[in-house]
Amino acid sequence: MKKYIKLNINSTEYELLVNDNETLAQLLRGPQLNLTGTKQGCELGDCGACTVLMDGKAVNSCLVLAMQANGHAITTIEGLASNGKMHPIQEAFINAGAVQCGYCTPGMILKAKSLLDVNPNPSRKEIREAFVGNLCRCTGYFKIINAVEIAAKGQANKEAGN
Amino acid sequence: MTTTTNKNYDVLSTSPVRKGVPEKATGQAKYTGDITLPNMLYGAILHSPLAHAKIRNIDISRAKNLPGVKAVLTAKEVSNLKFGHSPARFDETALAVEKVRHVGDEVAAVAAVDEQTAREALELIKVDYEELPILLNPVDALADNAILIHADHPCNICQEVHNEVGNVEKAFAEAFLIRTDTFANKKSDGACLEPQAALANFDLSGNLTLWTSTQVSHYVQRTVAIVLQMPVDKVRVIAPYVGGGFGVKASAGSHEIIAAMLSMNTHCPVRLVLDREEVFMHNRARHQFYHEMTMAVDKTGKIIGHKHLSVLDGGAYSSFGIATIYYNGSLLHAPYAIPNMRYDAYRVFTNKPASGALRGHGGLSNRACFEAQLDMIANEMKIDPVEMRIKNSVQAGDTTASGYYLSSFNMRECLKEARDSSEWVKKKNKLPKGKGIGVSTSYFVSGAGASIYRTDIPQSTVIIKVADDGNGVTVYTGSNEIGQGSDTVFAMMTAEILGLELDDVKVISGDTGLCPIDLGAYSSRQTLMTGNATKQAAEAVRDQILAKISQRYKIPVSEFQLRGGRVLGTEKNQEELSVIRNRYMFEHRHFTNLVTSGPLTFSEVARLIYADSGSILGKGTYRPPDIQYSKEWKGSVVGASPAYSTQTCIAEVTVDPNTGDLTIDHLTLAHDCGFAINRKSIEGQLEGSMCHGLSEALFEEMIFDNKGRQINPTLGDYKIPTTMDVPDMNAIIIESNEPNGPFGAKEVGEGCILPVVPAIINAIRDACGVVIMELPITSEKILKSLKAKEAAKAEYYIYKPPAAADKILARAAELSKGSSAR
Amino acid sequence: MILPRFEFLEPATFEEALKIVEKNKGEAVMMAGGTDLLVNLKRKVIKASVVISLEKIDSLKQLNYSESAGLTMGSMVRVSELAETPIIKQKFPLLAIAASKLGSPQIRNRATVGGNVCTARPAGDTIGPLLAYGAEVQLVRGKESRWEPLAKFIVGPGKTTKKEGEILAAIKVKPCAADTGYSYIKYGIRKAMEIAMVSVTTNLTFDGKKCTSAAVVLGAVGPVFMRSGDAEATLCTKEITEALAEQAAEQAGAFCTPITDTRATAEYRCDLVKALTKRGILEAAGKHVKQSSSRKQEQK
Ligand SMILES: Cc1cc2nc3c(=O)[nH]c(=O)nc-3n(C[C@H](O)[C@H](O)[C@H](O)COP(=O)(O)OP(=O)(O)OC[C@H]3O[C@@H](n4cnc5c(N)ncnc54)[C@H](O)[C@@H]3O)c2cc1C
Ligand code: FES
Ligand code: FES
Repeated sequence: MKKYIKLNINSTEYELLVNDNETLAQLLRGPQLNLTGTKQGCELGDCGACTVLMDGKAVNSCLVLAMQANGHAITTIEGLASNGKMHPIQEAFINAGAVQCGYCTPGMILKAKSLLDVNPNPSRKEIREAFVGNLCRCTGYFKIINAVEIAAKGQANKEAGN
Repeated sequence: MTTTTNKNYDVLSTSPVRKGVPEKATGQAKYTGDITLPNMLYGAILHSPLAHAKIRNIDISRAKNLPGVKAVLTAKEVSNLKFGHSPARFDETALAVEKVRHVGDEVAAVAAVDEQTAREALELIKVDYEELPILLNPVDALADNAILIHADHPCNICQEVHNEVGNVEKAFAEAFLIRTDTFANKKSDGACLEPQAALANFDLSGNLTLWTSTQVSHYVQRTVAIVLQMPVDKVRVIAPYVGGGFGVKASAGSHEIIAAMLSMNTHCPVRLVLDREEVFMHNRARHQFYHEMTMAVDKTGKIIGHKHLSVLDGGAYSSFGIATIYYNGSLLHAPYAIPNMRYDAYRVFTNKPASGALRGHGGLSNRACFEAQLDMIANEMKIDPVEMRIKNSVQAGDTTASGYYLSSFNMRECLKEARDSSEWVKKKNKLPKGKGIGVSTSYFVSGAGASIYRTDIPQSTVIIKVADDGNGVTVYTGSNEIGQGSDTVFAMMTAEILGLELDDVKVISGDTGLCPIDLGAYSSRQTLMTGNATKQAAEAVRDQILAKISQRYKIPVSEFQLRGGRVLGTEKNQEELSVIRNRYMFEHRHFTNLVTSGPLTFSEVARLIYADSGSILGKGTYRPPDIQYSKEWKGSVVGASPAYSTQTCIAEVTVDPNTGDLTIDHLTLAHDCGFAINRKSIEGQLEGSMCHGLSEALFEEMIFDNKGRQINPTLGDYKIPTTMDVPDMNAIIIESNEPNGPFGAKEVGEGCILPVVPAIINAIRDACGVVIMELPITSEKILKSLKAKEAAKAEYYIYKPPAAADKILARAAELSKGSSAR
Repeated sequence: MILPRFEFLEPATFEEALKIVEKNKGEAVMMAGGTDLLVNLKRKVIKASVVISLEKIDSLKQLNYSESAGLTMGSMVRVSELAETPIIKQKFPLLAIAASKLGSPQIRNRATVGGNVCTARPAGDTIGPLLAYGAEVQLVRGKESRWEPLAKFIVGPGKTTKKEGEILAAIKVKPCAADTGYSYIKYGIRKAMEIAMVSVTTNLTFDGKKCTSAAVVLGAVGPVFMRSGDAEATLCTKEITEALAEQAAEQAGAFCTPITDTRATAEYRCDLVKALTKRGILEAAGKHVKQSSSRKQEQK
């Protein structure tokens, strides 16, 4: 069965026809939206590659039905940059060398955003705890944790400057 | 923490943002599964649920009739030509012919209008199997009366090796101390975050384009062409962004051929993406190894003889296994000088997914056994483990017993730097109870000297084309960027030679339709091999530009230099300069931001040449020099390389005596990569390797039930580390000047995983006196050992591989009796 | 991995849900956060032609606390809320700590306490603390509603007394004694993202230095969570010392009945129970000491 749902994706309102058994990840990546920045590494909640923000909170889009996104606001990696300018977290990941194959990266960056939104100045331990649901096979996490620290500092500096 | 060479470069030896990284961080990067084509169908594969069975009949009628299904294929409908990795051992078919050999063997395939329909169609295919006895371990497979998994391989032996250099028995007779230990690891998976995926499209002229998540575009192209009986050049393989490889994507897989077959059959593009469980079924990662090693030392602690008996559980097909079994022997010939060595090994077929290659191919498990044993000997002889290793080390200029010439080899520097930065001297034997520190060294190849198929072609060809308007260049290379950063390395080399900014250099790689052949990303070959070809190509471009300007100025080439986007030296004749510049400015009079002063720009000169003679092309090729290896050591060609890397890991751990719980507190890894091209990428490889090594040490194990079904085919149950499992770490770049490498560079990325596992094993021994000789190292094994040690009131306890491993090794010993070494 | 086809229903009220559940008897499964259900559907562990989501029902998301009645929460309270809500952190710290160790932040943002209880896994993270606190669960079907102690509700691995069509509506926890010490230890192969190999929940109530009542709940070492009565009795009416903790831990180890699976042998799990129970008891006692001293400071 198909039904229409209304949702906000990256600040744009959509009305989309979705299947009952379609996941949010499938919807985002599928032909209607083509937002393939959201990756899938396991489809079972184990890897975090499909992490998106739902009303600002990080969720595994492989374990949320598209129907359940009805009426909610979704942020994907495509929605982070604004006016062609990358989000400071994206910049921090890029400059810190936190991206290798890049398959975990969109999920990591969105997880970082959800963390820094509630805890703008996390310790390394808090960062580690926040990222347990995001696996990376390439980097050994070291530069990813650095990137989150750098992004946090950058945001703090910016706020102090403003 | 690094050591540096003091060459003066503009681009090399820096840490630029890598090519493609902004795209990856913004979600713009398209991986194979992200690409859609108009009219595209979705493929799915039916896998065997049985580990060993004859296929009596396959009924596809119901699947065919399901609305939305466009094709259902079995071996009956498609080419059954064999393929595989080593040409001498082509033993796979795209779809199973007559029998299946492991759970997951590909039996049938479907293309349908959507993924849901494709998967549902699979459930409608009825396969009538006749079950055969299942062989899940080498002892059963090697039994005299065992059923044969491949009819042409008696005793299920895929390959055996018997080698000797020097005289091991004589060395043992003269030894001061000899010890024998056994060791086993577990079958592991690559666990790349991106599952394999392929998108195939035949055009109306019968040309195939195949996008695929691969490390080896060229081998895939060739393999698909062989199976589909097409001219090689009618197959274009494109590797888009690839989400990790680590070895498991280093040969053609059935899914790639099946995608092509489905597209051929339906005349539509077909995309086929494996799910995680299928990734495990395909596997092709590290073998399960069994080792028995005997090491003999003289009274000063020098290793004088080494004997290695080994069995490799190969799974159902040969895959990379022939290379693996040889590497398993030859990768012990350094970093220590051992004059007398013997190696006997069997790679055995079993009814499990085929094992293949994984980061540090053929060098991880043997290294772990060797280094744990070496540490135990050092301990018995009261020699400091670092000293023990320095004492036995080889160095640049040495030739190993297998005949490998080490043209650069800063092993001692690695050891010393790692020792000093980890404060080894302060910590060794001085840490509180339950805490320990351990060291290990290792070495690896920097590119396989020999190509996988017999050929006279260069291993790498690179073409650099200057942009027609002169604004930069494009590097065309068939090599594969899989997240390791190779594109950036080639761009940096090119930018350096041509005096350009990194952004002025584009790289097109992994596309066989556009790029000349390169053998791809395996055996840590690209920086050295593709790098050499890139360097040559860039120099060819440079030389054309300099030659032109020298001709024009009538002064020798040596008066000019490409740097900072300019042709330095052109300012020496202002008149000539003005002529060229004015001409360029006139041609570009509608453009803004033209350069009006200073030496001529790269663009101005390049455009001048284009006007005269069209595109400026530079070509570079690389074939390994005459690589030395010992004819006495059979198969030592596998392991022969133009250069060898070496590395040292120091691990610090805490063991909880009550639970056996193990915490890795810190890791240090020093690696000799020759000249460091991209420093941040090298650190990234070292950090990734530490994490990967930790993972194999502590977690990784594919577990099978007695029917050959994997019981942990998810990333929840097959564990790789989370952020909480990996400590902060110190990546130390040690440089050397490798004469065979471009700018002196050589391998990083594979060798550096090798010392991590044994460093952890040795640190645990230091912490609590138990030596875990079977991976993964679980807290249960540690606690059990602690208890046994206490019960025996011994200083040490060795946790040995289970009795089954002894049986396997005993059977191998029995079989190898009387086989003469070559 | 594709989800099988099913019809998705999303009742907006509890009453509507009850009706829909009744109507689809035999074919429907209920979905809370879906973190367990969707995995099982994808892996074909369970089949269903109708999925009824409880997510839209606001009444199931309520969380109420009063000094007299204690804590009542709807089954749809998310695990992340358990971990973060101040009143829970303060009054039912075990629940908050255990919740913060369930899965990943992403999982916790979806997973619900009701779902965790209904899965009745011997390793379910919120279950140990809920048992230690003596929680009761409310089950509703049609016009019937019943309250049952959680300890009785869970009867086996994945098995509860929940009848076909019953919805777990609420979970109730009586107010806690003021003077307590607590510890939740979860042990797994990795340091996070683990289904517990063993978990030990310890909740001690004190009168001065003496422990007056104790709950020692062992997870993943039997078909259901186990409370070691002997160990609890050992701790009661005494001052907690290392020797006493050791004795209780031995009793807990002797009492549990774990199985051997691919992650650990039964024997090792018993060893873990001993080691972790001892650690848990000492940790709990230590917390109590720290708290009472800080309380004293406040009083000064
Ligand atoms: C990656 C991953 C990691 C995990 N880690 C952990 C962990 O560390 N610890 C742990 O305990 N669990 C873990 N889980 C399992 C799962 O997330 C939890 O058990 C979670 O609490 C389940 O809640 P839910 O709301 O998602 O349940 P659902 O999946 O929605 O439901 C689970 C079951 O309960 C039934 N059900 C749910 N709510 C009700 C209700 N109100 N009335 C009647 N029946 C109901 C459903 O029909 C279903 O059968 C993990 C799962 C994943 C995917
Ligand atoms: S794809 Fe969703 S968690 Fe892995
Ligand atoms: S960068 Fe490859 S998985 Fe993280």
